[in-house]
Amino acid sequence: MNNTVSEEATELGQAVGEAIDAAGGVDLAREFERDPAARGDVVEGLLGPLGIWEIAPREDQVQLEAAAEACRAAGGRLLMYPIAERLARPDGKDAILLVPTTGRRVAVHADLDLNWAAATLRGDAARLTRRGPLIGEKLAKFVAEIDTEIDEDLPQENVELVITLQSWWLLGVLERALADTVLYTNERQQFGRRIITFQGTQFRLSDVVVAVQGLSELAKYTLWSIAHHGRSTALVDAVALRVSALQAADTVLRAGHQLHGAMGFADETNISQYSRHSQGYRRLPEGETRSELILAELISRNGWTSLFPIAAGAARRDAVRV
Amino acid sequence: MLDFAEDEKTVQLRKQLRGLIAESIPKDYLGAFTDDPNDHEIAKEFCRLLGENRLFALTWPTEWGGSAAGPWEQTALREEMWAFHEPRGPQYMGLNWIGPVIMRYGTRDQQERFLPPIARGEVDWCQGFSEPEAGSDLPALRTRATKVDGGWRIDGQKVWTSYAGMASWCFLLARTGTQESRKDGISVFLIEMDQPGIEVRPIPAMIGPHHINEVYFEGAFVKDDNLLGDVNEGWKIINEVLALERIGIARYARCERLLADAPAAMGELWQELPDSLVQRWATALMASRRTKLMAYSVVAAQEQGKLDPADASAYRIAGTLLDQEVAEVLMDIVGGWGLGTGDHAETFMRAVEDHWRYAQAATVSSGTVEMNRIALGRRMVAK
Ligand SMILES: Cc1cc2nc3c(=O)[nH]c(=O)nc-3n(C[C@H](O)[C@H](O)[C@H](O)COP(=O)(O)OP(=O)(O)OC[C@H]3O[C@@H](n4cnc5c(N)ncnc54)[C@H](O)[C@@H]3O)c2cc1C
Repeated sequence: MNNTVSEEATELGQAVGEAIDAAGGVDLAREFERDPAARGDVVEGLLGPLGIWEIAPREDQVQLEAAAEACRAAGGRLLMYPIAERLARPDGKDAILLVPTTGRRVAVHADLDLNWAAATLRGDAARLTRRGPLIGEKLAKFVAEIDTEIDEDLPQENVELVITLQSWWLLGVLERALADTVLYTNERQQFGRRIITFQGTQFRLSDVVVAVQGLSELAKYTLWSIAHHGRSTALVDAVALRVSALQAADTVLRAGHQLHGAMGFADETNISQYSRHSQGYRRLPEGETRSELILAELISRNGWTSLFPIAAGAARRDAVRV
Repeated sequence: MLDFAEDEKTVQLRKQLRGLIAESIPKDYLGAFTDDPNDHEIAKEFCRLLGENRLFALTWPTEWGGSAAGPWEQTALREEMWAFHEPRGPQYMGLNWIGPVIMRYGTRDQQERFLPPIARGEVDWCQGFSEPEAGSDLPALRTRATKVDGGWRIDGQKVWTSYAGMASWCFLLARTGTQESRKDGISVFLIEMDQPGIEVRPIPAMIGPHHINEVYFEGAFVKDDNLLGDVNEGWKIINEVLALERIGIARYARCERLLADAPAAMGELWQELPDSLVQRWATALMASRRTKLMAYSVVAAQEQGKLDPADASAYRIAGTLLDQEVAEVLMDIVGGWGLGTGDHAETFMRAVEDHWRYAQAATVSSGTVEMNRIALGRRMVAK
């Protein structure tokens, strides 16, 4: 058992983090909000020289881990750019987009002019038939309208990879949100004390730590799993990781807002940036409840690996019930 | 590089353990702590069987009857035992921490007297820590040890003492200093339970028989040779005990087993469940895996000698809350059968009912979830 990623991966993550920090860190998200069209060139200039697009995560596990650490470092600075989607690109494409199967047809970063592959959370291939402009509202500064055609019989390569890498990006955001909240509660004084010295604050923060540590361990396992298991297991595991990431996002960002008081709603605090700009990934391609239902469907069909494995089909259900 | 594959030794160990369980533990066994004395006999027999195979004191040094196995085999043992309703009965305590602290703090004579019977799986111990006035605040304990000729006289009361009625020995904390000395006036005694000055009174409880008892000491006697460590130096030993117990029981393993058993055990009824419940079931499977991985990260850190106790607390918070969450999901799945069937054919339903009752205590026993939150919270306060 080894739950640490390779040194190469850690080093790349550090390099990605330093490059983004040198360009302003989380302030880049503010800059991109004002000028979303700039993000392609800016990110190319930052990450291109690090050789990040030469990483081939499907080739070996070291490269897979490097890709994941790059996404985590980018998330840790709220880099609003489809780094996971590009690192998970299938052969012959620039990037892969996860698209919804119900409700409004929109996707994060779909405005960018890339040669996109597309897929659903269930793993089916999709075709982008239209890419519209950015919605541009508070919670959707980087979310664009799309049209798609879904092919339910055609599995799309690398779906489990993009789901997993997006979760690593979210992990980065949540780790940073926790760190910032700990910092803030250590500084802010009320009743003549730092608010972190109140037991209520510590208990709330301890729930956040548990959520983040749990997600971090699951993220590492899932990465290993998709490197070592066939597609059907890998897909179930990736969706399970997404569910965990969405749950953690609830816990971490809700507590982050609460413990920042009114300050947390001001655009100048980073917590408001994390909260707003992570919305796209939290609601799309499917939100928390739908992701959980899809997880149940996939486990019923593909099985589940654990100390007491569930065989494929063993938990199958014939019809939807209420 | 990440690697979550189990090594071959651990894989073989699991096979061997499951084989022994299949051979000697009845399919409907729900542990030693029932009203049926035969269930305790099954546990005792199973411990002897493990002892014969040198699987009982697996991780102990060979000198003391162990097999010097590594932390991952120990983890597998912990998981397999808990998943199958702890067929060792109360004896896991002797193995996990009583034996190891005797190795560390005991005299040669104490080691020779106490360790071999533990390793052979022959002796039940109980843990005499908590008292009516000393729960989370353990240093407030009042049970007194007074020096007498050849040993110590013990007077006082312990409470919530698990398996006290089954145990032949007690790992007892008693006050040898003033009440005000708190942590600095506590000593550890290894005391024989079968004597006139000790009375065990079972406490009827929703978690089932044997789990909680009162133990009254009135002029009980423990000889000088059975003082563990030095007088008033007991807290150091307690810290060691807490360190050994940091990982605690592998609650997630039984969660994984019961969740995995649900579809087959429910049969046709599985089709009748609402989607929202199957959704919770799937999410609980994910949460069990996540908690297991947190346990593994604690084991890995411990193996490298760099475990931060606050991280163990984080895992314990996750593990105990998981137990309760899974209990709720399973009870919802079995519905009315969860209220008790009395029918041994309905093993799964009975296991779920048993799991729910015991899970209620998960966030209280061995240190409450709040105490773990305090430990974790403290780390975040900048100096
Ligand atoms: C099934 C079971 C088996 C047990 N077996 C044993 C055994 O074998 N041997 C033994 O010695 N003991 C045993 N115990 C006792 C166990 O160790 C205690 O129950 C535990 O330490 C809590 O103490 P308490 O029950 O007195 O609760 P209390 O300490 O009275 O706590 C009550 C509540 O107040 C909270 N609280 C207390 N102090 C604070 C604080 N400072 N800040 C915030 N909240 C606080 C607690 O977290 C809890 O929620 C067992 C308990 C159970 C449930």
